[in-house]
Amino acid sequence: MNFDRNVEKGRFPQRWWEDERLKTVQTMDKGEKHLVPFLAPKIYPLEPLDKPFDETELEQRFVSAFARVLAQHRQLKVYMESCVKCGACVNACHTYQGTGELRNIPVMRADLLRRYYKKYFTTQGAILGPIVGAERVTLEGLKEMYYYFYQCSQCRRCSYYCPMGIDTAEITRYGREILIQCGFVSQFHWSVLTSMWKTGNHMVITKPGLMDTVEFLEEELKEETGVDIKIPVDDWDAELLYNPSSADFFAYPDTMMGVAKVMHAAGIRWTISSDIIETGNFGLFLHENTMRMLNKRLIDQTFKMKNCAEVVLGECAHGWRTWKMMTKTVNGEWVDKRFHYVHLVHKLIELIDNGIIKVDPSRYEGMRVTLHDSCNNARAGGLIEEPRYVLSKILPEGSFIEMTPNREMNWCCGGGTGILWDDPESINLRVKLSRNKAEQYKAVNPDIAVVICSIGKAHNTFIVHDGYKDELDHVKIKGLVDLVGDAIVDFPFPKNKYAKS
Amino acid sequence: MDWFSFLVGNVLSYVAIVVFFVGVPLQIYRWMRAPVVYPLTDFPAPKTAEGAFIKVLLDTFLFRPILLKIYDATVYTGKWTDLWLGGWIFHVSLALIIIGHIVGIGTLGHQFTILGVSPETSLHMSEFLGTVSGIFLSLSLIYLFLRRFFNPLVRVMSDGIDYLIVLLILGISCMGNFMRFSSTYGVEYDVAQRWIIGLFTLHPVALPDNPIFTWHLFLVEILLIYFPFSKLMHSCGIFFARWMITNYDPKKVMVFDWRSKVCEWKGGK
Repeated sequence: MNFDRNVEKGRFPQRWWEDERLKTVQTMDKGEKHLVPFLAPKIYPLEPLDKPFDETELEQRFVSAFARVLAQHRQLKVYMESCVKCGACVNACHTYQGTGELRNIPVMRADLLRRYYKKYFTTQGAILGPIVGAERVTLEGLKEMYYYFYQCSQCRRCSYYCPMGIDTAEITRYGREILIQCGFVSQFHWSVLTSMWKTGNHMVITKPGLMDTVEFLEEELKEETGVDIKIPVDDWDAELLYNPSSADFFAYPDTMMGVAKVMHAAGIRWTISSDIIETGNFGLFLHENTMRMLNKRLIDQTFKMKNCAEVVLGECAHGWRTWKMMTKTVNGEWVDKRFHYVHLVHKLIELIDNGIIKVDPSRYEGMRVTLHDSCNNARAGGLIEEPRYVLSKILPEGSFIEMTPNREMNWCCGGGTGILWDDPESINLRVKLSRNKAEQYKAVNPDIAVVICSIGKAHNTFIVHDGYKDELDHVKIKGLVDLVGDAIVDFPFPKNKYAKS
Repeated sequence: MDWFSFLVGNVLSYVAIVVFFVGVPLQIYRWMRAPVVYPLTDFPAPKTAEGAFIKVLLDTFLFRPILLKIYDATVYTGKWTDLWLGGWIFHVSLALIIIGHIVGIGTLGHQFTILGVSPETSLHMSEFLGTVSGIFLSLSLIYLFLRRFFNPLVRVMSDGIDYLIVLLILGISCMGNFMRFSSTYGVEYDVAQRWIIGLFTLHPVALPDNPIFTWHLFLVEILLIYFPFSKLMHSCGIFFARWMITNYDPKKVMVFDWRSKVCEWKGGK
């Protein structure tokens, strides 16, 4: 793991600094009654630490950060006090089943934080100490906590198993937020957060870089279809603002091209904003203030638009959760009165159902297609039947196969919360984390797996072409809109993209 | 009256009542002070608050999350079907016993006369129900204890206190059962009623000279005093936690009803 190397050298990835931009986010939101009272004032990491904090300072930082998070989140308090340790969550967690490490059982993972809660915030822990499982904060303990909290993919599957309804994803989220205050954060996640603050996307794409990529994609589209299909950037007269995932420009250009095809065929004047080309929001995983900042940034774009009545969110699962479930409470109740905010899947349903785009199901004759329900789409975002409805329109009878279990009980692919580290040790870990998903794929043996999620595409590609390539190398990972775009009758079918290897 | 009987009957009983009835609401108030910033709904969720309420009740009282997972739990590990039965029997018999204590001592065992039976029959029914649920309580507790001890995974995740709480309740229930069956140490309803009336009218009377009863009461008082500080607060927390993941408040989320919107947008915007 990234972490181990840093720890061995006694070097921790970060330190946060007081940042002016954070202050503006906070003052901007004052007076909203649904908001959190206040959020982390000092988090923004700028420089690596020379050495870890000594234990006294670590303890102070930990306890003060923990107290603040507890004061702002009822769920955390209730979860900390309600667990009876019945063990029902053992079967829920793909991380435990993949790695076999006991600390990866959801209750054991949550206990890494709960032991400190008991020590510093409960009477019984202060008096009875180790009998109730209370422990003091130590450097070793925090390392352990870091190690296992960053293996949780926050898929929320355990909340369906827990008789109390405890959602371990919430615990790891705020646990990570506390860890940031103590100087622990994964290099990958930190760089993504930094990039979000700087450029509004995960991949540090600046406007010139974006224009260049868009030009390249337009050439590709011309080559593929013979039609001049534009991807307009910053066209403030457009009627629809599309918010892609930044990975769609590099790793999965098919998705971006699919969207362009759909919009062209539907005759919609659309645009993307160079200021934010990211639906995803890593703040959801480990830092709440960043989550609000990026959320706010997209709302700001809509004020630039003159005729815009609709914002369509791209294929990103946790981004969809953030948008659907959190926008109104973290950034004000007025946002949905001003615009429609819909998922791309909803837009596709509208276009297909109203006959605005014509699709030809026979193009996918003979292909076995399955759908991976991304955790944040299905469990946390309620996007369960909609993708299936779209697939039923664009696929011939009998092409679509369900994996078991499916829908809200689907196994997480193992890449949730951006566990996409690519150093050699972490790759072994990722192979283990995705064991259950790979077994599901092996059971249905699809030609195409539809994944409506950028991280999911990255990790599922890793599963089929890298981790389990002996059995699964023939599987193609596609976004939903890739299939829709290629099924549109106005354009020729790009056969080479679907050729069996 | 020796000092222990005095302590249990006339001192600790007041302490326990105060700690329990003040401590539990205070803990709940502590939870309520913090906001729930955004909905944590698990989908598919009931569309209305009434639906969510019913689902929370079903989930809570039937232990549905574990009940429904029995099948796939068996598929994955082959030995996890055991939790639901033990846990559910324990909680139901505990609830019956608590209700039985309140009603039985309150009406001197004549509670079933409301169904039209004679006082003697009612007394017999009351004793029968109490005995049966007492036995089930002890058996399920023994079972849960053994499961916690012998199941390697549950054993790893348990702290010392998890065993101690089970042993505490087991001690209480075993003494209760013993008093049911023993003719010398049995306690009649009217004796207990007199003591409780004395307690609440602030004219405490001495406990009956019965060491088993005194110890039974002592352990109950320990349990009540420990209750607000412990994981036993899950009895209240479960409603909070379940409500948070079941409730789907359309006012707090961006709702998109895709089927109706499809029709609405047909004529353009």
